[in-house]
Amino acid sequence: MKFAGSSGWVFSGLMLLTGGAFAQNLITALNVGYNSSMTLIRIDLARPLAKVPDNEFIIGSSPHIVLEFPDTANGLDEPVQDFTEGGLRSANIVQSGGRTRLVLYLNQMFPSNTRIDGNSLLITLQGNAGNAGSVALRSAETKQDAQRLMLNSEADARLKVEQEAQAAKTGVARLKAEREAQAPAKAELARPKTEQEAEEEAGQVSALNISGSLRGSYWSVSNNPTGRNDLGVTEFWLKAAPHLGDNATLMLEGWARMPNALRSATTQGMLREGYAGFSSGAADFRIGKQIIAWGRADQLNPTDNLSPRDNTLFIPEPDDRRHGTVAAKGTYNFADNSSGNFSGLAATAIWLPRFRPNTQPIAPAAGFVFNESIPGGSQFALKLEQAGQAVDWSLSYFHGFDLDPDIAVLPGVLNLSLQHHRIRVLGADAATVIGRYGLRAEAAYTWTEDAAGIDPFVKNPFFYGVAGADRTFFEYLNINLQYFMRKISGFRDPNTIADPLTRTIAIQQSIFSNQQDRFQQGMSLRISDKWLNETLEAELAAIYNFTRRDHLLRPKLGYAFNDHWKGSAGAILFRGNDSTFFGLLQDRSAVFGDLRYSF
Amino acid sequence: MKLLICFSAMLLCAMTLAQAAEINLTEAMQKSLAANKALDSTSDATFTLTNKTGQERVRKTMGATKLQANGEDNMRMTRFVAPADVKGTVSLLIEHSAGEDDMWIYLPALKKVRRLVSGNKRDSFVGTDFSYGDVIGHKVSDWNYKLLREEVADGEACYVIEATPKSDEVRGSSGYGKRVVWLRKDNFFAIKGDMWDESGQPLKTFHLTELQEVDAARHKWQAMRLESKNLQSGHQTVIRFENFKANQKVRDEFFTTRYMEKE
Repeated sequence: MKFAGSSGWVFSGLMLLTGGAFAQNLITALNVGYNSSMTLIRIDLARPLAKVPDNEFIIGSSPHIVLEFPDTANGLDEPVQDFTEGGLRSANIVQSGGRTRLVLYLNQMFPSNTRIDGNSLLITLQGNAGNAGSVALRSAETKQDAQRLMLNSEADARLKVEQEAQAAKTGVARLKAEREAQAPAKAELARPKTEQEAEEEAGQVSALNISGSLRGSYWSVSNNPTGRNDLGVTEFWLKAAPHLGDNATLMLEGWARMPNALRSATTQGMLREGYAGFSSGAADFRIGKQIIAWGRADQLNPTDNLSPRDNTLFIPEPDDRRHGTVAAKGTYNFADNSSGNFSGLAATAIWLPRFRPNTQPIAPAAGFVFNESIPGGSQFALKLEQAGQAVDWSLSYFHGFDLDPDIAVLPGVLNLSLQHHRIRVLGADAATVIGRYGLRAEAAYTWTEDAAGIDPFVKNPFFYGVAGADRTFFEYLNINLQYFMRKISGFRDPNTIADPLTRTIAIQQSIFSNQQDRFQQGMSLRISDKWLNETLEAELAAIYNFTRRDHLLRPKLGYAFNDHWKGSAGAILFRGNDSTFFGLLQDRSAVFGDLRYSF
Repeated sequence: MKLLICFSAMLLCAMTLAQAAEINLTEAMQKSLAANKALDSTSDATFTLTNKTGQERVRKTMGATKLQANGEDNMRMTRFVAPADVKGTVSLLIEHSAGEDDMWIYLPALKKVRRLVSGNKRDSFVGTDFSYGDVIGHKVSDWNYKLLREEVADGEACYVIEATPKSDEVRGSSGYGKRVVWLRKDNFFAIKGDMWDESGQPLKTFHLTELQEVDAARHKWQAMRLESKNLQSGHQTVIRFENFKANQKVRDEFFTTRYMEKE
């Protein structure tokens, strides 16, 4: 054993000596051949490889293979090469010091096989990688090839390329033959061409990463205060998130709808999101129209002040009423110094060049008209957060406009002005799990333009906090209970205002802005359960204000008929007297039925 | 006196043998628990859920696992790619054998990652007939074991081992009053299992086939087809792995909330 060990050292030393004394290996060519069942990638080198290089298969939105060639130089002219057909999308080759890294970006995850064949390294990607029946070759000539081409005749050069093509074809044909030899009779496996074409089309859709739904619903009452009852609504939702690579994303999502399809051909449309994102090391950037959802509490989120909602939409799911706002967002993800891995700590900065408000189903008192003005000017927000450790938490700051308007009287007329004033919001949230309970808390203090609380037409500064827990009983019965409170700074009872008109409007303003009382508190409850292997779902959501005893109830029952068709029915019920927030919306209470086909 | 000494020796010998058998079974179950724990893996999976009327639902996922530094607990990332209503949903499970697992989910409709209470070991794994306990593995020291027999199953020599919970707490959290598993003698991989509910009624069976040694150096195996039937509801699940690859040097980055948010 001792002798063997010594000889091993001697051998290693010789290898080091030879490695240092003689020239490095050299990648001379990258060839790609493919047919309907596989893609063959051939990497030619100046000398045979001693062993298959270290390789790493990376999954994700853009799966790729990373190959490390030690003591090897790059002889290819182009560091990045794109391939439009076959299983390979692009190849990126970089030399750093004495080693070369080759990254092969694939169209999708494929079973792969890597082996050495003479001076070449062959990588076979098995799967429906390319166009049926076709065989193609892409060749990347090296610096040496280019020099040779300059020196030799054009005929010689053409012959060399043809020889390379033939070699790649031969490799593919051999692998195909081996594969077919292992498989059952060819005739049994042959698929109709139409099915192949359908698969190719499906592959193209997969590359675009398209999904969407067709929806039809009935609403007994319009969410829009000026609308009609008994509405039939048809909608088409489409989302595309094409795979651009690990470090780049593109998102497009929007909808078109006929809000009163039974009576009118009027259509509406909206681009919910349309943004580009890219990452560079630890930094992520996203630019464009995007939904930025903040807050770890359930549904009630004091820190969520960036992306607006259209609460007049006929959509059963509250989160689908949200739409994007134009923004540039940058996030830096801090690494854990001990391991180099991301610790989950991240800092985010957001700039919003323009403002879009919430749309609420509210109407002015009889005889009055609302005139809403949308302010110009940019907004910004900062956030420091950590996720992935024992406690998820964030600290945030927002400087921008209030998504919900303040109501003011325009002088001399019965027009009411809806104005979105500047606010500054300092917020924090946290979530953790203790035993079988999920615990969440979120709070924010909002500074408004009426710091002293003397202007009845501008919200007063206020504190808004939410804390709660959820637990799952049996297998699916989840109960989520939260307490919330608002404390209004500089509160003045609007009922004490002497001027009747000002008092009337100030009371309306206090109701719409949840500032009727110096201190308000309430509870939210969400109970959900599932049966029949998650095909039947029921949910009851409720918000109850202790102070004014107004409340919201939202029961819903959903059933998935299969993987595409799903139906749901439910109600949105507002209750309370006329001088309360939910009481004002009582006429907007509705029952609904929804049927959708998802693809 | 001689008789007493002889009897005591026999008793001691019997106790020692019984203890040895228990230790061996415990070791066998430990080996079984470790039999499929590759350093890391990537795979595509198709879940076919069939109810008692024959109606099928199909879910497709792509996922990755990676063993943590303790060599026991896995990190599991699962991204749903079909059907459309769950597409883009990503779940991240960080196992902690010494305590509660950590779990997060990204729902595209919410546009944010949400921390969840990890499921009871008895809860269904994403709507299938496998429980989280079946997927993650049951803690070996929580169960008593008894060797029922040795027999050939699927052409392989197997130990047939009965496992009963050591406490009511384990019985309640696992949902099983008894488990009987068929461990292959050569690699200790559990290829079959029968489960009884807490009241002693037959509940489920599972059958794992198409075994592949995905890491020959460390003797790690993976079944490419997993089937489970609920005998009480008539529902059944088949999970088929495709493109399963072990030891791919999967990066830690996949097991972060940052990755989950990249749709």
